[in-house]
Amino acid sequence: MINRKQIPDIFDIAPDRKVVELITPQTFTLDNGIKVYVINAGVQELVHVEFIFNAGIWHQDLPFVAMSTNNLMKEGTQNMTARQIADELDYYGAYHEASTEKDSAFQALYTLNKHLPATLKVMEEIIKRPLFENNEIDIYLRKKRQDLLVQMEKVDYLARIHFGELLYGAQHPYGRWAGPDDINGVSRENITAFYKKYYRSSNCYIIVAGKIEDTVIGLLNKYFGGSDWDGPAIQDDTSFEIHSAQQLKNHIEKPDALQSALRIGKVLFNRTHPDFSGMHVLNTILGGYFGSRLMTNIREEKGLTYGIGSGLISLKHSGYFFISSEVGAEVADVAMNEIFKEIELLQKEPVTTSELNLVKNYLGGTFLRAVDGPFSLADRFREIHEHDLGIDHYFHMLDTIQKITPDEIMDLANRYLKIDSLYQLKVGK
Amino acid sequence: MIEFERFTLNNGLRVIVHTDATTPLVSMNILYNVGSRDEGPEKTGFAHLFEHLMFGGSVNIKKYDEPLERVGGENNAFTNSDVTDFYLTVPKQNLETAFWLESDRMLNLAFSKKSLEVQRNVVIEEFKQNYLNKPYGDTWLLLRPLAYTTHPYQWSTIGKSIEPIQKASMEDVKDFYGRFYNPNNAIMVLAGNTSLDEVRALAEKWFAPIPAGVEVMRNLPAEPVQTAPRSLKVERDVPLDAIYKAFHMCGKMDDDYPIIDLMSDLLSNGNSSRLYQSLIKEQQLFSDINAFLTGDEDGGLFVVSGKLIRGVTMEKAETAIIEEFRRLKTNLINGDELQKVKNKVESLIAFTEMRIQERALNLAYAEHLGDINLVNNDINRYRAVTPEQIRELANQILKPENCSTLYYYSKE
Repeated sequence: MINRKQIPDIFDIAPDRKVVELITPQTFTLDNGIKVYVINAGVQELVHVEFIFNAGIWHQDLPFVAMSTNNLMKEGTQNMTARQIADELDYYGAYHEASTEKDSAFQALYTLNKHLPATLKVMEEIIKRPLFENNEIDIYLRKKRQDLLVQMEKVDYLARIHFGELLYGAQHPYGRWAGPDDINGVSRENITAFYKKYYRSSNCYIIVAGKIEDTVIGLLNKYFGGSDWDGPAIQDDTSFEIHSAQQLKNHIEKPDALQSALRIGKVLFNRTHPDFSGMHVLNTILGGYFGSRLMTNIREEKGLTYGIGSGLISLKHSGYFFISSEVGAEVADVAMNEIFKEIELLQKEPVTTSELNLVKNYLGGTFLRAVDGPFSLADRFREIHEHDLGIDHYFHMLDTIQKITPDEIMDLANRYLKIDSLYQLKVGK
Repeated sequence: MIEFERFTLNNGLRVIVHTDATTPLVSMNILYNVGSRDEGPEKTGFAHLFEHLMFGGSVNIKKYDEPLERVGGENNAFTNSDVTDFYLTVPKQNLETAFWLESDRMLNLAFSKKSLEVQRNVVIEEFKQNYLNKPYGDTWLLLRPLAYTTHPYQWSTIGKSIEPIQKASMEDVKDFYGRFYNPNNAIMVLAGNTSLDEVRALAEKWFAPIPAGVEVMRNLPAEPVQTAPRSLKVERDVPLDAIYKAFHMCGKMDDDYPIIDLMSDLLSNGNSSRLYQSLIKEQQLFSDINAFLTGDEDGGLFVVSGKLIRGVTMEKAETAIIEEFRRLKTNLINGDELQKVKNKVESLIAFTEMRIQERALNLAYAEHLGDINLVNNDINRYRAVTPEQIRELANQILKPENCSTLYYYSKE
C-alpha cells in the first residue's frame, strides 16, 4: 500500500548558474550604433523583435501624448496607408504591439520566421515614417476617450490612478493621472513634436528573441541601420521631486459600488537597491503567491475577497510597494484591519523555517518558469537592462532567496513596512 | 506538430504524454468532463463553486496548494459550460508530488464545512467583482437566457444569480463529486520534461487504485431551432450604449465550425478586419467592435458586440452591422482575404503552442472532443475552407430569425 498521507521525497530545484546564463544575449551593433540584443533559444520557428525607446510617460509634457504617439505610428506612413499596414501584417499572420509604460515605449513584432523579411519592412514604415494624419488622430482620440469613460467606472481603475498620485504627487510623471477631458489637450503638434524628438535611432535599442537565423542582423541593418533617422541623443537626466500626500488614510466615494477597491503601500526603491532581493522574499510571504499570508487570511480563512495580492514595482527612477484587493463593501474596513495585522505580525514574529523553506522553493520554481523559453528570457533581460544591471543581479537574487533568515525578514518588515509610513486608499462606499 | 503517446488505466483514466526535454518543467493537466451544462436549473453556479472546493483539502491531504508550492509548483483551474480543467506546472524533479496531490483529490475530498462556507463567500465576491460591480459585467447574465430557452447553456458558468450559491449544501457537494469526479470521467495529460515510462509508473502507482465511478450519461434537452427574432432592452449606469447580437450555430466538432470561425475572423480579427475597418475607421460608429464564437460543444453562439460612439443611434449602429452581414451573404470574398485569416489561424497556433501548459490543455481538450489528432489536424479543416462555404454559412446563420439582440443603453 502506498502512504497517501506522506508527501513524496522533495528534490532540490534551486536553479543552477547555467539557467541564469541563458539570460545573457549576444550583442550586435548596427551601422548607426543601435544595439541589438539577441536571445537565440527557441525550437519553434518564431521570432519576436522589440524596439525600445526612451519615450514613456516620463518624457511627455502633456497627458496621453506618449501613448497617442506610440499607438498612432501604425496608422498611416509615407509609403503605406493605415489600411495597407494592417492588411500586410494580418496577411502574414504577424502581431504588432505598441505599448507605453512609465519609462519607455515599445514597438513589438511577433512573426513566423519565414515572414520576418516582409514584416520587418512594414515595421520600418511604422517606426521611421509615420504621418499622424488628423483624421487618424481624431478617430484614435475619440476611441481612447470612450475607453477611458468605461475605465473610470471601475473601482479598481480609480484606485490604481489615485494611488499613484498619493505616492508620487500630481506633478510627478509616476503620479499624474488624466481623465477623459484631458484628451482634448492632445494635438497633432504635440504628437509630431514628441515623435521627432524621441523616435530616433540614437534613442532606441532592439531585443530579438526566438529561433534566430543568421540573416537577422543583416535585415535589421538594412531597415534600421541607416543614418536617415538619426537625431540628438536624449539626455535622460530630468528629475522630478516626489511629493507624497500629507494624509495617510484616504477614501474616494463611490456610493453604489458593491465592492470597494483597496490599495495600501508606499514609495520604496527599484531593483538597483541592495535590499530589493530581500524585499522580494518578504513580499512573496506577505502577498506574492496563492499561499501568502494575505491570501490565506483574507480569502481562504475569511472569504472576504476573490483575490488579494502585493507587489514590488521597479521603475527606472523609483520603485514602490503595494497591496491591492477588491472586497465586499460592507467588509472593507474589516479587511483593511486584517491587512495591517498581517504586516504587524511579520514585524513581531519571525517566520517559521517551514514557511520560509516553502517560499524559497516556490521562488525557485517561479524562477524556472520565468526563464522558460526565448520570450521569457527576453523579458528577464529587459528587466535588468533597463536598470543597467547584469545577470549578477539574478545571481544575487537567487543567493538571497537561498540564504535569507527569518530574522533578516523581520528586520526588513520593520525597516520598510512601518505601519505609519503606509498609505491606504479605499474606493467605494 | 505535437507528438504524444497514450495509455488507459484499468479504472478508465486516459493518460496522454507529450515529451519536451528542452524545458526543466512538467505540466500536468486534468480535464473533468463536467461543466455548468450539467447543473440543474435550481443549482446554477455549482460546477464552478465545486472547482473552488477541489482546493479545500482531500481525504489524506489537508491543503492542496501548500505542498505544491513547497516543491516549486504552481497551479490553477477554470470551469466553462462544458468542462472543468485543473492544471499545474512543477520542476521535473518533483513530478511525483503532483501525482500524489491530484490522485488524492480524485480519490476523495475532505468535504470540510469550513471550506464550503469560505469558498461560497469567495465565489460570491467573484460574482460581484466580475459580473455586478463592473460596467457591462451582467451582459452574459442577460444574453444567455435570451438566446437559449431550453438548453442549460441558458445560464452562465458563474450561475444565474448569487442565491443558489448561497444555498448550496454539503449534500449537493458530495452528490456532485460522486457523479463527476471519477477517473473514467477524466483525461490526464503530462507535457514537458518527462517520459512515457516515468508517467506510466507514476500513474499506476497513484491513480490506478482509484475506483471507477458510474459512467456519466448526459441527457440534456436540445435547444429548439429559433424561428423568430428576439430582443431585450436594458438601461444601466454605464457611459456608452452597447449592442450584442447572438446567433445560434453548430458545435465544435461539426464540419461547419471552422467555416464559421473564419467568418468571425474576417469580421473582427486584427485591424484589417471588416468590422474594424468599416465601422470603427470609415463610418466611425463604434469605438469597439468584436465578432467571436462561444465555442460551446452542444451548439454555441456567434456573437457580435460593440460599443457605440456617443451620439450615434442604436438603429444606425445596428443597420451598419447588418449591412456587413449582407456583404458576407451576397458577395464571395476574395482569395487573399480568406488566405489572410487562414494564415492568422496558423500563426496563432504556433504562438500558443510555445508553452507546454498550452500544449497539455490542447491535447486534453482534443481528446475530450473525441479526436486527439485534432491537435495537429485541426488546421487542415481550416485550410480547406472555400469562399463559397463562407457565403453559404453566412446565409444560414446570420439571419434575423436566428438572432437574439441585447440593446444595452446608457442611463445618461
